[in-house]
Formats: sequence, structure tokens, C-alpha cells
Amino acid sequence: MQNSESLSRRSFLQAAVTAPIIHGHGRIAPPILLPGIKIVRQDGVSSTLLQLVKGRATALQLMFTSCTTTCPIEAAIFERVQKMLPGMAKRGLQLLSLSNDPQNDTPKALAAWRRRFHAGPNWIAAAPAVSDLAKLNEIFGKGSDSADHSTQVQMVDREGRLVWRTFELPRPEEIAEILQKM
Amino acid sequence: MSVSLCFTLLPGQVPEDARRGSALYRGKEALAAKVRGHDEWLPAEAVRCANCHDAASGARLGRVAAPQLDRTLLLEPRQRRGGPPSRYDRAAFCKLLRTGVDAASIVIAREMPIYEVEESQCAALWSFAIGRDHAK
Repeated sequence: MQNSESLSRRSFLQAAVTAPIIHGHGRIAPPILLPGIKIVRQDGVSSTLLQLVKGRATALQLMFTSCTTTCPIEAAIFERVQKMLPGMAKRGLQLLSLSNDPQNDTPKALAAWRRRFHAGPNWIAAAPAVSDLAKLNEIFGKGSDSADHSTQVQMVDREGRLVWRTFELPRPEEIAEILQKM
Repeated sequence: MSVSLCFTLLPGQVPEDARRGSALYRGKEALAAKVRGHDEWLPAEAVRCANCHDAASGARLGRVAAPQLDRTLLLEPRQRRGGPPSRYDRAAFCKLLRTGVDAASIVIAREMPIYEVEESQCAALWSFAIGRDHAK
């Protein structure tokens, strides 16, 4: 009996560790202030995630540069949003592609990824520290392994608060519309 | 009078259809596709079948592992969501590509694009896919 109990507890704990973190879509109430964790951008400049998003309305997606599956589609969606919103800087809008593979996504890899998808100056790519991944995954959602991540787009207001999550692979028109309303 | 022609393939020879299917699968011949519900076509490099179904690292589509396409996956009856067993034929395979609805009439993950494939492209992909057997 004790064996089966400890086995089931162990199974539960294993499941808890590997279970995907899945968030629904829509408004987030109360909004979640993004943490001040360190990130490094494609140009090698370090800042915090909060600093990067404060003062601008931000559409944030998770990705990693060696991903062949959903990331090229996510990037194509952001590329389309970029075309829909000329003059993003003047309007205080930006796109942020945040890597969930910081071990491999060096600034050089991030810069190459941006070039591949014709990212303009207001589409930033950045990677956190490995030690902060769990915290970010909790906020943004992830799957059950490192090759998996949410394809939702996370909308962050000018105060640096996560206020809205789209559903998976949203229409570019939806992202552009929400960004302009923020 | 009708004349029927019969072609025999030599060992190791790949049927023309399957060869074209392989080119489509790997993106050597471009496919047109979009995310379900989107208006815009995606870049051809983003919608190659092999991007997800052949990724060595264990490709995943969102939260679902992308299966390796082969004859076992497509032709063996299997149950989905407690429904009756279903299997693919060419028509069901083409319907899945074009609409995102699988052989069990279940809408699959949105992460798989929907494809605008001509009948000949679909036939080629089908021929290629059922000619593979990962168990061997």
C-alpha cells in the first residue's frame, strides 16, 4: 500500500514538473507586471525585460532561432504586422521575439534570425538567462519540453504589464489592432 | 480497341509521383499554405511538411508532437477521442491538407497550415507518404 502510494505521489510530482503550462486567451485581470529579469538583445545590449517594454506597447512572442516548426510561421506573422504598422517608433509600438533557448540563442544567432525575417528597428529579438526561463514560462506558458513553447502573442502595455493573450498563431490584423488600442 | 500499358519498377526505383511528393514534402517544390483563419499566404519555407514532420529533434506543433508520416500512421485504423477507428485514404489525406479536418472528422492543431494543393500535388504527396515505413 505504502509502495503504491509513494509511486503515485512520485508520478504526480513527475507530471507536475513536466506538465505543460497552458494559458487561455483574452484579457488578463489583474494585469501581470513583467519581471525585471536580465535579457540580452540581438545587438548585445543588456537590459531588463521590464526596461525593454516600459513606455511602449509591445507584442511579444516566444521563439528560438533553430526552431523549424512553428517559429518560422510566428515570424511570418510578425513580419506581416510590421508591414501593417509603419512608423511604429513614432507611435510607441514594438514587436519582441523572446527566445526560450538562451543557451544557443546568442546575440549573433538572434541578429541572423532577425535578418532572415526582415525585422525592422522596432522588432527586437532577445534572450533571457537560462536561470530565468522557468519564471518566464510560468508567465507566458510553455509546453512539456524545451522544443515546445506557446504560440500565443502576449500583449504588454506601456507600464510593462501583461494585459492580453491572443490564441495560438493569431491573425496579424488582430495583433495590429490590439497594439494600436494600447 | 484499348491498349493498357503496364510499367514495372526496377528494385530501388521510385515512382515518379513519389519523387515529386518528396520534392513537395521537402520544399524543393513550393506549396501554398496559410494558417487556418488567416488571409495571407505564408512564405514557402515556413510551410514545408518536413519542417515539422521530419525534424530530427522531435518536432512539436504547439503542444502536440508532429507525427512522422508513413504508411503505418496513415493506413492503419486508429481510434481518436473514443470514436470509431478511422484510417486515411487519398481523399481523406487531401481533405486534411486542404481543410485541417482529419480522417476522424476532427479539426487538428491550428499550428498545421492549410494547403492549397492541386490534385496532382496531393496525389504525389500521398504516394510519397505511404511509400515510407519508419518501422523498417
